[in-house]
Amino acid sequence: MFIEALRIVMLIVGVFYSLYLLVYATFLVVSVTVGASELYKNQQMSRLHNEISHEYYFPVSIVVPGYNEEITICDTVNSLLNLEYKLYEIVIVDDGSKDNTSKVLIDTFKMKRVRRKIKKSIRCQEEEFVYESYGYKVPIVLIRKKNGGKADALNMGINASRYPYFICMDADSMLQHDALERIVKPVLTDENLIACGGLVRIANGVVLENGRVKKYGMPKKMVTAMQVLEYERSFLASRILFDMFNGNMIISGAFGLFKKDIVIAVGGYDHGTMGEDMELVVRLHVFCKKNNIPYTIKYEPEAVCWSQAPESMSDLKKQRRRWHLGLFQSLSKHSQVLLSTKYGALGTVSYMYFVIFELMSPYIEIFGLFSVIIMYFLGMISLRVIIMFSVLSILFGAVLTLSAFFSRIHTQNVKLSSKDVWKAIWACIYESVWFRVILAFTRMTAFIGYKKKKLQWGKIKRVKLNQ
Amino acid sequence: MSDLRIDIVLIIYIIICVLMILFNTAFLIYLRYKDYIFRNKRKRLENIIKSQINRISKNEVIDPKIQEFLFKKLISIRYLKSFHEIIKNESKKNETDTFRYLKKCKPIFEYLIVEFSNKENAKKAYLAFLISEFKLCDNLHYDFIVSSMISYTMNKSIYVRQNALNALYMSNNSEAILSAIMRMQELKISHSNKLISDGLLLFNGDRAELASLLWKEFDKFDLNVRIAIVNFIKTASLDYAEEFYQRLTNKYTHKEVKLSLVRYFGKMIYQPAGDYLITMMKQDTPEWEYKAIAATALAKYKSQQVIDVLKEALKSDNWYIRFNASESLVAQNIGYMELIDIYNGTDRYAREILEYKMETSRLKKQAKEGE
Repeated sequence: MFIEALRIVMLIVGVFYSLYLLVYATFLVVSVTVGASELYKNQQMSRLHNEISHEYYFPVSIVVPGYNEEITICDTVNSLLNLEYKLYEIVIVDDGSKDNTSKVLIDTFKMKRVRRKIKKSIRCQEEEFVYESYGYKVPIVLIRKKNGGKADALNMGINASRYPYFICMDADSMLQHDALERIVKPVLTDENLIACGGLVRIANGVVLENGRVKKYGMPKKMVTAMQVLEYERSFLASRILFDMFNGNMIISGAFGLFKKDIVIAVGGYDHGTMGEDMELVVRLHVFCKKNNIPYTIKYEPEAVCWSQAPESMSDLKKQRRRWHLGLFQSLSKHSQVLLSTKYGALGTVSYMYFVIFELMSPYIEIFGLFSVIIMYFLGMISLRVIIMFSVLSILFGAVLTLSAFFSRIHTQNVKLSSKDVWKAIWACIYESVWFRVILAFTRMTAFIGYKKKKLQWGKIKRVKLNQ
Repeated sequence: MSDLRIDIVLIIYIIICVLMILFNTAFLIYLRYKDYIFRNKRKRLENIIKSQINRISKNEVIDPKIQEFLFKKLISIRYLKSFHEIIKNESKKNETDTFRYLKKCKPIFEYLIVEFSNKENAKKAYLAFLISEFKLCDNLHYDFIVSSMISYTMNKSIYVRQNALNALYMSNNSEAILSAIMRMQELKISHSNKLISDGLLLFNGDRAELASLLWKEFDKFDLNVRIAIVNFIKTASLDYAEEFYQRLTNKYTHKEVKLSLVRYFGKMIYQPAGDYLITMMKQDTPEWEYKAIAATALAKYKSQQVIDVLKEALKSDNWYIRFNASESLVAQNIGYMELIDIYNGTDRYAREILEYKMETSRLKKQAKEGE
C-alpha cells in the first residue's frame, strides 16, 4: 500500500520534473539565442555608426564603497582616473575599515582633509572625516564613516555625490576605458531611463592596461574558470531577454548607473537586505509602476566592468550564500509583483523566473536527485535511462554554456588560445557535472546563520588587480 | 514515460546549441574569407580614388568611368565602408583636395539615398553618417541631399535622426536646421534636448543667424526644444540679454525655461537681470530651485547688494541654496573681514558650508599651481 502510494507520488514528481526541465531548457535556449542575435545586431549597428557619439555627455559621480580594501583600492581609483570621459567625480566611501584603506588613499592621492558636512538625503551612518583631492583629472573624495554595511556606504556615497547620475561599483573592480561612455549613452536615447546595468566580466586571467584588454585568457584555477563561463551565460541570456520588455530585476552592484533623484525618492539602498543591488532595482520598478511614472531599466552589454571572482571554493560558497539570501529577501519583500497584471511581464516572466529557476532551483535540483534514486529502487526507472538522462543533461548544460561563451567571444573580437578553448570546453563539462550540484547545496544551506550575517560585508580574499 | 520525450527535447536543444556554435564559427570564417577575397578589390578601389584625388589636385577633370564604377559599387556596404576608410586616410594627407573630390561625388550619394530608401534603418543611419563626415549638405535654395536629410530627421530610429541632424549641422544651411526641427515638432518626435543643444553648437555656418531664426519661432517649439535653444545660445555666448530678460520677467514663461534663462545670465552679465536675480533671492517662494540657480548665477555680479543676499542665502533652510550661495561668495573673492559675521555667527550650517567652500577653493588653487 505504502509502496503504491509512493509510486503515485513519484509519478507525479516525474511529471513535474519533466515539465520543469522542459520549461527551463526552453527558456535557456531561447534566451541564449535571443542574447546572441541581439549582440550580433548591436555589433553590426555599431560598425555602421548607429550610435550616439558625443563629446560631452553629462557629469556622473562614481561611488565606490569599500571595506578593508587596502590591497585593491588604489588600483581601482587609478583605473577610474584612466576612463575616457570628461566630467565625473570619484567618491570613495570607507565603511569603517579595520585595515589601512583610508590611509593608502590619502597617501597615494595626496588628499587633504576638509570640513565638509554631508547632506543626508538618505539615511546613513555619520561621517568620521572627509578628504578631497583636486590634483588629478577629476576630483577624488574620500569619506570615512562608521561601519554600517554596503548599503549604508552606498547611501553615504549617493548623499555626497554632486551630479544627477551616479555609478555604483565595487572597490575590487575595474572599468574598461569606454565603460562610462557606454553606460551613459542609453540616457541620451531614452529620456525615461532611470537605471542601466553594465556587463560584469571576470578579471582573473585578464591583463588590462589603461582600461584596455591587453591579454585575455581563461583563469588558471578551475573554480574561477567555471565562474567565467557562468557569468557569460547569465549576462548573455536572461538579461538581454528581460531587457526586451523592461523586465530586468537585477543591476549588479559591481557596475550600474542610476538617476539620483529617483533613487533618493525611493529611499536609497535598503540597509536590511543582503542583495541590496537587486532589492533597489525591484523597488524602483514598484515605485514607478505604483506612481505611473514612465521608466526604463536597461542593460548595456557593451559597458564592461572587470571584477575579481573568488579563487577558493570557500570564498565562492560565502558569496553564493549571500546572493541567495539577497535574492530571497528582495523577492519576498516585493511579493506583490508576482503574477500581478499591473506589473505585466515583470510579474509573470521575470519574477516567476527568479522564483522558480533561481530561488527554488537548488531545492528542486537536489530533491530531483533524491527522487531519481528512489525511483530507481522502486523499479520505476532503469539505470540505462538514468545514465542516458544524466549524460544528456550534462551535455545540454555544457553545450549551452559554450554557445553563450563563444557568442560573446566572437562579438568582442577577442582571441583565445587553443589551450584556453579546450579549458573552456573542459570547464563547461566540469561545471555541469559537479559545480552546479555543489552550488545548489550551498544555496540550499544559505539560510543557516542568516540573522548573524545581516549587516556584514561579504568578503573574499583580495589579490592585487591586473596580475 | 514523459521523461523520454524530455530526452528528445534535450537532444533537439543540444543540436540547436551545437548548430549555434558551428554557425558562429562558420560565419566568422566566412567573414575572414570575404575580407581576404575583398583585399584586392579594396586595393583597386584605393588606387582609383587616389587617382581621382590626384587629378583634382592637378586641376584636371576626374575620370567619369571611375565615377560610374563607384555608382555601381558603393551600393554595397562593404564597398561603402572601404570608401569611407580610404577617404579618411586620404583626408589626413590632403584634406582640401579630398573634400573637393567628395563634392564631385555628390551625385553618387544622391543616387545612394534613392537606393537606400527601402533599406533598413541601420544602413540609412550609416549613409547619413557618411554625408555628415563628408560635409555633403550645401546651402543652396534646393539641395536633394539636404531635403533627404530633413526627411531622415523624421525617421523612428534615433540614430538615423541624429546622424541626419549632424549632417545638417555640418553645413552652413541654418534654414534647413530650422526646417528639420520644426518638422520633428509637427510630428511630435521627441529627441533629447541635450542632443539638440550640443548638436546646434556643431553648426558650421553663422551661429548668430541660426540663433535668430530659432528665436523667431521660439514660441512654436515645445518645452524640450525651447530649453535646447536657450542652452545653445548660452553655450555659444550669443547676446540675447534683452530678449531673454523679457522672457525671464514674464510670468507666463515655463519654470524650466526660466531656470535655463537664469543660467544664461550666470554666464552673460546683464545688470537688469542681475537686479532681477537679487529680487528673486529675496522673494519668499516655495520654489527653491529659482533661488538655488540664481545664487549660482550671481557669482559674476559684483556688488554689495549681491554679497548681502548671498550671505543671507547661507542661512537658508535649503541645502542647495546654501551650497550654491557659498560657492558664489567664494567666487566673489572677498576678504575675511567681510565674512566675519558668518564665521563668528550663530548659524553653524552657514559657517560650515562657507569654511568648506573656502577650503576647496584653496585646494583647487594649489592643485592648479602644482600643475
